[in-house]
Amino acid sequence: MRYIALRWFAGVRTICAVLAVTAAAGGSDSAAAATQPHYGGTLVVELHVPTLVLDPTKWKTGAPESAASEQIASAVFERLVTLDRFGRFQPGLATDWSHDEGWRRWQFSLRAGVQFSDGSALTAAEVAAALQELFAERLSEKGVVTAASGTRVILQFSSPMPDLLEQLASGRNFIFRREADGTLLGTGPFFVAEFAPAAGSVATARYKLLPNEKCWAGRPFVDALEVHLGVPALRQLFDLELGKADVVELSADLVRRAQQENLRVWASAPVLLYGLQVSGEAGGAPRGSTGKADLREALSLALDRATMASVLLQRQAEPAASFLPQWLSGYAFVFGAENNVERAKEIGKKLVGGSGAGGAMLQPLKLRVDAGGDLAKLIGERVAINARQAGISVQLQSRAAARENLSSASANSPRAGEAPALRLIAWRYSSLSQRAELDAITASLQLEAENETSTADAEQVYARERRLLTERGLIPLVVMPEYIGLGAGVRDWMAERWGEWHLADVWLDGKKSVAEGAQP
Amino acid sequence: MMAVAAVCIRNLLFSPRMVLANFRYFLCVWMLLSGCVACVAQTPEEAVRGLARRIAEMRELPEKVSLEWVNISSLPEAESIVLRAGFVKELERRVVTAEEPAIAALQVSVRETPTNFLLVARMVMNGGEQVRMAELPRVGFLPVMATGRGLRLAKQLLWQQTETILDTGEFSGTPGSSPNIFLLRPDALAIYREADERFIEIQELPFPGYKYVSRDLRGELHQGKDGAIAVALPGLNCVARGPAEEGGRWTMPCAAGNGVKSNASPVTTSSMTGAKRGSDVDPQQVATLRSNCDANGWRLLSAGSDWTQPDRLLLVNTEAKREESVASLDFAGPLRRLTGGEDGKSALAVVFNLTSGSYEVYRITMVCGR
Repeated sequence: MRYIALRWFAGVRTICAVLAVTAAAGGSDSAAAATQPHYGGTLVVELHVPTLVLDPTKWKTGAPESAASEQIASAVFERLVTLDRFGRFQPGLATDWSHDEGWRRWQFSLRAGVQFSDGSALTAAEVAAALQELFAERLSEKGVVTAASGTRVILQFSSPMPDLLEQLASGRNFIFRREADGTLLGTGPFFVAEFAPAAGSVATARYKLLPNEKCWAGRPFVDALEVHLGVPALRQLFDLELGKADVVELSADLVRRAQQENLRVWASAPVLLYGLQVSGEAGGAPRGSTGKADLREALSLALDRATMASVLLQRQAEPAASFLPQWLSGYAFVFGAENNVERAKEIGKKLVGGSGAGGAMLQPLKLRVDAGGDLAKLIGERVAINARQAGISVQLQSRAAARENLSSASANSPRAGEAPALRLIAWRYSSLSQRAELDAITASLQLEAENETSTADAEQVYARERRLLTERGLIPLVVMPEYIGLGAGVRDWMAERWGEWHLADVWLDGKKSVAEGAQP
Repeated sequence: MMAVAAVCIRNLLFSPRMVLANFRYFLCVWMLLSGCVACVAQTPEEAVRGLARRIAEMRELPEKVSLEWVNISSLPEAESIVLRAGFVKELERRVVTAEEPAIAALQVSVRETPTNFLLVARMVMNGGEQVRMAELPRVGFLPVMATGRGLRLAKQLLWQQTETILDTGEFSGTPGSSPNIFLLRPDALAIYREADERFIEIQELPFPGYKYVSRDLRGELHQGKDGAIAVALPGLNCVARGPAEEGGRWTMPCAAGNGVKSNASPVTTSSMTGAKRGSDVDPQQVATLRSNCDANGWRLLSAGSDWTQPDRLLLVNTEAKREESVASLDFAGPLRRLTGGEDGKSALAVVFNLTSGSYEVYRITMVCGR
């Protein structure tokens, strides 16, 4: 009893001393600088996509439509590690990590005291379950992501994973808990409080996210995050001008206009690639691998990428000669994108005349535009014009027309099952691992899988990419940044140059909530 | 690669357990055969020398090559020059390098990726191009603690670190003793003393059992009249007391409390515990200064907008408007904290350097004349 009383007395004495000193302080003036963030307000984000998919396992890698879902998901879910813009891996849900010499076995220690937005504690078993879903194809046959001792997670891969941290810090690799009804819970700074689908007089669907007060990294600055979906590009610009939205997507054709109107425009590194896939054996293409290579070379030489970037895309894009962009690979400048129409004509003549090793090319080549939007169609038309200049006839085919074509043709028709010779694709980079991006495009375009490469060594990745371009018929055209328009009151927009937003760090400067004052 | 080989051979020869040794041997052989350069932790110098060796081993490499080295990355130029020197030294063991055009031109370009600096060496030989690369982790070039005393105008860099600094202060622990620099981090209060133009850590006082939870930077240091240092963190108050005798240890009892509060709404700019700030105070005023030059009072004002922009400090007479600033200081990042000094003649600024990603502490003083 005496012991307890003494301890109580000592505790009170400490508190009193602390309070006394705190009260006496102030002899020196000390203050936060003028840049100190403020709490409060509603951040209104407008997106072009009509729907969001907040389940990372359902995202289609490389699909531009998945990018918006990833941006909003990053406000709800967290990663084991993050990468800062100085090249440092920072602890996220994991506080430390290690691996064996062969880079197959990785061990992560989890941060203590992390809670989901419903207040339940994050466990190693839940992290293991999420990783098991995300890395299902990469894990060894034995299985394994295991939860060890409640605070550690061990991943055992069937092949070396030297770039695992890059992968975990990007793309779809968020940690979640799947509920019985299939919905996902996250530990991130926000949680989805409300979803209002587009219906009747309301033209746009709307998500409302509220702060997760239990977030281990602290409460986000804004009181609510409203995400409006299916908002057309021009409408987004108007809403930004009128103060109805704080964060909007800017299409390439509206960037200059926004800048001329003194709106704040943020640009990422080039994250969206437009490219052509040359398919052999189909749609009027010359037969055989040599014919395909010749066609690829002729088209690549015929394409005027510089004009596409500067005129068609109003200098909001860059010509691309490689699949991986310079900021991601570091070596993209080694690839050249020569524009030589005369040389293209020579090769084209061979293909059309049938003197090429691959045999005669049937005319015209069908170009299917897989990417959505007017921009893709414009690029497709420019490709057709450039090809025609080299004597190669290309006919544009929309995705819908291609489907109709296939379904209307009878089974015995020679056109049945005919795939286009060329496909225009749009690819959104989502991983910070070069190898993972190459794996993803190989799988996505159903290119012949290569019996390699388990290392992330730059030279080997470079050699692999060179083969992808020369042997697998991929022709990069242009790469574009993502452009974001920011409201005047938006502060600390600290998005990563590879495009990932940090909505929890954004605060609103002295303005009332947009949603309170205006009807969207 | 050679380092791996050396380790492998040593393990093979001296491991008492043959089974394990054999396993390691096979593992090493596999690593060597697979050319897993990235798997090996190398210093930048080793990586550069390795690149030079691989270039020197190219088939039909002429005896004389011209070297063009360009740095198109955020790698500091001084570091690039050091790497180039190491590269040339290693290369010259096998070939002669020259500045003027020679039989073959070797171009080395320093580029970067999100995680690495990449040296890309290109050489055109016999009508074809050979490409070799070496990766250098960017973290290998992050700034280390700087002890610079170099006075740049009125801005003196005192400290630099990659860990977060919440607040800083220059206080004497006990009356009459020389001042110490206090750095408040989310996990500890670190105390340094300047000696021979270097800062020596005297003591680090951790906050046992405390978990810092805040998205903004909230934490304050204030000195009381008795010389004790009050530490206010979200949910925690501590008092650091200096030793009674020179060379003794500091103590710091802590208690849960209100600590420091956040900016509760967009309307108020700050509600700092302990700081004397009235509602009529200009929110841009962040510190006052006295100078030896005149009898005027001066204010230091921050010109920054948010934490994504480089900041500028303006020196304004206490009687003058912001637009009438007489001097300014530019920083490579946002000013996160500004604290007036004990003597009123200097201030300490915590700046987050947007280029290097480090927190920096500057002493700001007024200089008379030009």
